[in-house]
Amino acid sequence: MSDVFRKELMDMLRDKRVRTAALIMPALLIFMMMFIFGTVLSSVGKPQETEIHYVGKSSDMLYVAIRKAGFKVKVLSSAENGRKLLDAGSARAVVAPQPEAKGITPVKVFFDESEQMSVIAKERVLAVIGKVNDVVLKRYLKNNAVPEAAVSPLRAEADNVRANKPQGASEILIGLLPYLIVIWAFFGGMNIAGDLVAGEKEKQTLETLLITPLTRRQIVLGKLFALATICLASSMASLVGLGAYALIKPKGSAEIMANGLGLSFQSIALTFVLMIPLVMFFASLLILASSYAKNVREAQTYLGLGSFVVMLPAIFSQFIGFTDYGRTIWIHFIPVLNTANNLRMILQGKPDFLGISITVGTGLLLAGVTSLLVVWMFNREELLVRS
Amino acid sequence: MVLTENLGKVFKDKKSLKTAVEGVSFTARPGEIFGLLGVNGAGKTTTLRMLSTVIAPTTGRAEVAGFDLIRQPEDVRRSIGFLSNSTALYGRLTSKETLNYFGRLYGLHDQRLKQRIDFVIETLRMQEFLDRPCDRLSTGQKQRTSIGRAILHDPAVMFFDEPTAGLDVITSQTVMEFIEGARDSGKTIIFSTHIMSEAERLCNRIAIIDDGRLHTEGSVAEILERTGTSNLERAFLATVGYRPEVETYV
Repeated sequence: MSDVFRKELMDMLRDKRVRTAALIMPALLIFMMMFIFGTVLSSVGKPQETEIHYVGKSSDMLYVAIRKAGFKVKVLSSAENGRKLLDAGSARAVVAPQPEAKGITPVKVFFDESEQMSVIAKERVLAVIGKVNDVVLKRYLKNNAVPEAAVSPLRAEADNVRANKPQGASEILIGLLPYLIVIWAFFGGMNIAGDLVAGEKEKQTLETLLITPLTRRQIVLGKLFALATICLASSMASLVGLGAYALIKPKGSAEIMANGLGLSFQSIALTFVLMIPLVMFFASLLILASSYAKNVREAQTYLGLGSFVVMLPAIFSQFIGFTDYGRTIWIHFIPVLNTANNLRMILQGKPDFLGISITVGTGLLLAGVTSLLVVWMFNREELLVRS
Repeated sequence: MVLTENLGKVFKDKKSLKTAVEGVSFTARPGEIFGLLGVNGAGKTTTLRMLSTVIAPTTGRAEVAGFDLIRQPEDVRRSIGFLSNSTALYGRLTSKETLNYFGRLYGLHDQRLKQRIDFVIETLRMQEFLDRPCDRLSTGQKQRTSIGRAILHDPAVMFFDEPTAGLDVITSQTVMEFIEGARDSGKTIIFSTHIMSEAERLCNRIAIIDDGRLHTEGSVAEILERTGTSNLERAFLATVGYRPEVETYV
């Protein structure tokens, strides 16, 4: 069995498709995704990158307040011009103070709801106006010797309990990384699985293997372990890509890694422990499809359909943080979702050891059952030697 | 030695049963080439697949090199070499890696493996393409690598399933010379073919197989005498009951 394992692994690693699709792509994908998110976050997070158009004089109190908040401000002669600029997509928000009535100055803030950046600019202008009102109110209260408590009896103070503890990864990483680690464990092996049995049937190399003294169980388990190794490597390649991102520190990485990467020796070790049963399960499914198919093309069809079984729970894992399901016991019994959920908690710096134990136990059981199924199928001559 | 008794194979289709081989009995002895002569689809490959344990017979029994086909399949496989023109090589492995891989699968290790590989390389004159990936080899070089793979473990019994089909005349000659050499060294050889000249040249005894059944068996001379014909082709046609579709042609 070890000879088949070694040969299959060597054969796979010599295949340019495998090196590209299973090892380089996962690393490159997470690097590129982090780069894009970082670039977007860094530009969205900076007022100096946002230009506000103002209808009025540069001596106006509101104009000064907007400038002080760090925005670039451009003066316009009329609100109508501002609307035209918004329609043309040349402006993000236009601020137009109206004539004062009964001591209140209405301020029109024009924006375009279809433009994300325009909506953000509008919200920021409203926040500046709110601050100006606060300052005016405080000044009024002080001048008239009225205590602030008279108008603000409640004062909210948010206190982050994790402020002085390891905070885990940022929200983007927590949402994305478990998903990528899990799906690459499947997709990394998907491109190769067709070759392993169906491809051997098609190229007629399988019979040379079947007439060696090895049992069919030894042959298929050798192939299974080799595929599982590639699946694991493919899934871990995301961590390598992330490591490269942290080392290179491209634009926006400060925002992405504000709390660090959430990776430590313990979190990486736990990730391995969680992934081993899952890659065995995935590798068994992939070999099952490959053993059943007559040729690579047929195998790819089955594998394509099978990928939905992996995709759906993996996608759900990205949004599990918006629900309380992640903290229920039963979630640890659902394959794929349980692994992704536990990876998420590990990245948050809050590993649930009971959940990890149940997930690993469930995964091993499932991997064992599917491996037995693979061995059974590999012994069925009508499937193995059909052409 | 290869001994079959009433060997048969029925394939189950979705709707029906198809008898591919029925009641095949013969004995092939060490130092002889036993030919299975038949048209495409006659049951030759199915018989060889059963004898090499790739598929299980549905009736009958067989012994290969003294091992029972059903009860000792691993021992049977350890004792056989199989060469077919249709079986391929792993394209990304070099010839040397192929020999090394299959040698290990046949239980050869260390010094013994090295000795056998050196012997095969020398015998088949493989030095010039040894480190080249198999998908970059010529047809002849591929066939020599396949032969090397099949004989590496020095099997007592060898199966050749139409080994020259699709090969050029030079490569075919190499294969046939190799088979003659294997016979002379005392191997039991089962040689399946539909080419009469090859059967006449190589086989000590021949079994004519058609529609899954073994019709006659004997040396070429015996078969010619039995059928009252002057050459193997006519003997074959007479045995399988061939009737020309066009009676006269003017």
